[in-house]
Amino acid sequence: MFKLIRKNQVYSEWFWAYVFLAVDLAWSTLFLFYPMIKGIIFSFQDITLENISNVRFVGLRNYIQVLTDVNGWWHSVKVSTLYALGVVPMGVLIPFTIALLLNNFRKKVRDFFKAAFYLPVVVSVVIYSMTLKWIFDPMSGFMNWFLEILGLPPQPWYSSESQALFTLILMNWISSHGFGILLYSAALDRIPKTLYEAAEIDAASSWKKFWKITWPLLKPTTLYVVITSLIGAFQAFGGAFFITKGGPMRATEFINYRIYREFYELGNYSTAATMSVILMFIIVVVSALSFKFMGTEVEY
Amino acid sequence: MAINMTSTEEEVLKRIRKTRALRKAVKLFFLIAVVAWGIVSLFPMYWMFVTSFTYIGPSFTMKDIKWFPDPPTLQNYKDFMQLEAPWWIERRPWKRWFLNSLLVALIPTLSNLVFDSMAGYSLAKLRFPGRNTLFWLIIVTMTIPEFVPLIPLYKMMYDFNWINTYWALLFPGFAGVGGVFLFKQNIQTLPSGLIDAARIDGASEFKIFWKIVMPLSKPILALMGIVGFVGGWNSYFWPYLVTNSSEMFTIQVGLTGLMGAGAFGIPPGVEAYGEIFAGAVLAAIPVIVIFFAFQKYFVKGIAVGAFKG
Repeated sequence: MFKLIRKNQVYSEWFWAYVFLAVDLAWSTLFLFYPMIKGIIFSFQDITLENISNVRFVGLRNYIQVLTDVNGWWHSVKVSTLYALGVVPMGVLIPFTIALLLNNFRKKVRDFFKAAFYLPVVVSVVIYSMTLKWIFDPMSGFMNWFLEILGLPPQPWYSSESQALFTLILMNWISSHGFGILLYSAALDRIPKTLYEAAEIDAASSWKKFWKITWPLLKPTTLYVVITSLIGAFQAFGGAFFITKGGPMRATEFINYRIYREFYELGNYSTAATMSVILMFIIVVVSALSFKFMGTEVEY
Repeated sequence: MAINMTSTEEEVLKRIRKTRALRKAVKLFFLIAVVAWGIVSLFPMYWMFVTSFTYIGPSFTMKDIKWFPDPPTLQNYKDFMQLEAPWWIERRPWKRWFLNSLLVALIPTLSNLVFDSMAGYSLAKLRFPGRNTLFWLIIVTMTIPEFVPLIPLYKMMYDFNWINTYWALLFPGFAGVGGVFLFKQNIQTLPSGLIDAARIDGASEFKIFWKIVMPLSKPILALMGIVGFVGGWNSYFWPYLVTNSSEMFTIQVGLTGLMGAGAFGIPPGVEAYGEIFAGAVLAAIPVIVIFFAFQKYFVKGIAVGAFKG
């Protein structure tokens, strides 16, 4: 008798669990899980805008096509990799330094600056990109005016093949660190003060305190920031989409911009799907590598 | 001996004063560095406001640049709203753009609050077969690049004949996995004893959720509401893909069109930065106001990982 009630209770818990999950599960299945699997299936088919009804499976043809496309796909991989190499170190260094500096001030001052640094992040990519495009305008932008004041020659910025990628990297440097600063600040707050007090009793120098306490204890945060900014860098899109359109001469044709072009402008759905599956593998490999090199557990 | 004592005391005092002065100098240097970087990172926003109040003609050159708009003008705002445009020019439906943005920001956010919190509760507090599998599925999904599901999803909208309708704009976002993850993490921290006690008292599962879990989850609900609204208001790529007539644009897509970044038949090259930034300022004001009103939630959002980098 008692056992029966218990069993009914368990079943009722199951039942309600599924009821609570039902809508979300149905939605995610229809609009996320199913398209995801479909995206992987696309990469083995020959589906394009022109050939949308008579779809065949073509095995690994798309993958071979993409992976042997040295001037197309591998060019984009190169551009994205260079971008990541330019962006990620600063994505750690700047927030880390700012958070460390902020840590010396009173809470009120700290909160004020944290808000100031976070403010640009809430503005949309569209608006932020067009503002930066205007600031770096080669003809009448602020940056060239500023260089002139400093007595330096004007630069072509994003309008020249040689500087375009660097300009987008520079734009990343001066923007979007609000997230990292908040993250590092929170991590610094979590370090127990007693550790520093103990070090002070031992008369440790500031330099030593930094390398023996602050840096090791912030390592999980650093790993998290490195991985998220790596993933972000390999999926960079806004700068190419709004500012350079992948140019000039495809100098800023990021992986994601290339996928967008294949998909939306050229209608090569299968090629675009193949590229995004390969991108997924690139991201997995890059994240795994940074885990291996920095080798700690992330606590997030 | 006594003389010696005082001299060492003086020395010590001197040293303390010296370190204090040094500390002050270092602190001042830190402050200058932080302020300098603050100016750099806030400058684009400042420049957006300045430009929107500066008249920018077609022959605008570097010599016309000023730190402050002098004299400030509302001409760009009039141009953006096309108040003075000749009658034969087709008006851009900018009010519709704002209305559409409001819908995109509000409706999916509200439904997400309901459905994601329900799913989050289920994963956090109820035991059922398949729970761990489901949770891992959610984690894996969150790391997959956007484009993988995007292409078939776009084709699905096409097959449903939903392109350029509110269905495509709003419907796919009604429930998701990111919110479920955060709700699960948060509801997990609520005391299970409360829920068990209510169950013993014979409260229905739905009543437990509505009368106990929801009131205790107010902070995370508020946070998710704000983050969802700002994210929806700022989203541009999906609305850009699934709309093609001006009346269906959101403000972000409208601005993108003004920039000639997309295939809207606007020749690239000359940008009408004056009216573009008037529109940009109008589009940025709601999120800036929300940010200042709910600042602490944004900072808290970091702690629970509500934002993706």
